[in-house]
Amino acid sequence: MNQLERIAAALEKGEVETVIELTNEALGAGLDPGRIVDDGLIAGMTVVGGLFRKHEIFLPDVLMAAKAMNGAMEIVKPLLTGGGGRGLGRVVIGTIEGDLHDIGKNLVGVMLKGAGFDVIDLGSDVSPGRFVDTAVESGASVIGMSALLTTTMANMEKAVRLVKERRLDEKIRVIVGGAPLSEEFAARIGADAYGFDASSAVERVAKLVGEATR
Amino acid sequence: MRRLVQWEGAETLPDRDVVLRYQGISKGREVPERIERLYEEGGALYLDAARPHAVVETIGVDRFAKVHEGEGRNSADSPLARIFPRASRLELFAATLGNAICDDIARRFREGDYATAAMLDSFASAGAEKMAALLEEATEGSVAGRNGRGAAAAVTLAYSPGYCGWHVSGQAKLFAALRPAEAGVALKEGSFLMEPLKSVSGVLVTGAPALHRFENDFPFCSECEGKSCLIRMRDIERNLARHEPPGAAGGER
Repeated sequence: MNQLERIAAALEKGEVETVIELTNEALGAGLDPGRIVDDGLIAGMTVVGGLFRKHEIFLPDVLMAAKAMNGAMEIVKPLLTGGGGRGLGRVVIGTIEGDLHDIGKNLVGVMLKGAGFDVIDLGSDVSPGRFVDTAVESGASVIGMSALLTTTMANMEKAVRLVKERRLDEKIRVIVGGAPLSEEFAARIGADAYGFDASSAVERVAKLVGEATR
Repeated sequence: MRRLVQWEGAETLPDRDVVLRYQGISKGREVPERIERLYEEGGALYLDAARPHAVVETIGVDRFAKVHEGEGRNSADSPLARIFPRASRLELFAATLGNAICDDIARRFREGDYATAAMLDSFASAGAEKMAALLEEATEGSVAGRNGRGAAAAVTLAYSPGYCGWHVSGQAKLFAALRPAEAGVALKEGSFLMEPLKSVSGVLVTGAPALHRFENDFPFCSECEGKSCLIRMRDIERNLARHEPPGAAGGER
């Protein structure tokens, strides 16, 4: 097992200290920081996401891995080209207006950061206007909205409509998620994607960022 | 009648199955040792930080009709709209676990301690449910005691804005009627959401068991993931089966 594989394996087990130690060792050995992120950290996190989707591991396992990932990213990030991060894209996330349930949104935020995205978390009870304004002001290419209450889901449609009304839909893509939502609901309100869970949300966001910046 | 309720944290400590369900771990699945440790830690943190208390106030049907109407954004039809006019008792309530536990969860998330934060969040969400269940039990018990009848003679269930067709904007009139500030619960300014976050509010509806029965075929039911109404109705049936002779549980008395 090479150094990057060892990082990935430790990350899969959520071994925070080991991941940080191995990351430092890899940097000390002259490994490229970009490769440490791609072939070590993201590779490990992808395995974790896959296992979680197959119900082979549990939510706390994912969160322990995310903690390890973020710990290592703190070390590697300043060394990446440009110094500010991987430049994968900026995402504005929040729980939609009228809804306070933010645990799912927090998980998505953790996973997105772990994957190398720049995340602006607006918290819960976020108005459609604030989502759009923040995305425009920050240059974000994706808005991610979460809801748990069926009665607040309608506010997501308002945000999607606002993006289209302001003719921002080529620059800003919208992804929605949350327990009562579905692929059909996302399509019905005109969202660009639906995130079934935190790891699928990260995959979808990566795709949306590519589309939006094309 | 208005009453303030204060519990010890341990009284509201939620059931293990409920906490683990919030973690996405279904009943009966083997829990790995590392998650057991996390569960234990979450429970200890909950007991340390939870300050559960509530305020409950009786309200008449006509007055509640105005509260329920909210800002006119409810679904055209809903279980509660059919149920509450036939209730024998209605009580508005708001219960909270207090600020400390919310602050602790937020701090842990901020500091990257995600797994512990999420476990504590699960304890707190389940703890909020438990407070509502304790209020249901207390009302049910007092009604049964007063009437000198069996425990299944009346069933009390909580219904909350934001669920089952009662629009979340209903919180405004509920809070205006209940004035739960003395229990430390308020609505966020310009919002229908509660502060502290780990709070629960709604109406306790008491009546004959059959009062709470309905077909879950309302338009919004198809979008509901939880389907907790089915569990509640199943529990009623079980209670009836335990307390009443066969054939006695059919309709309203």
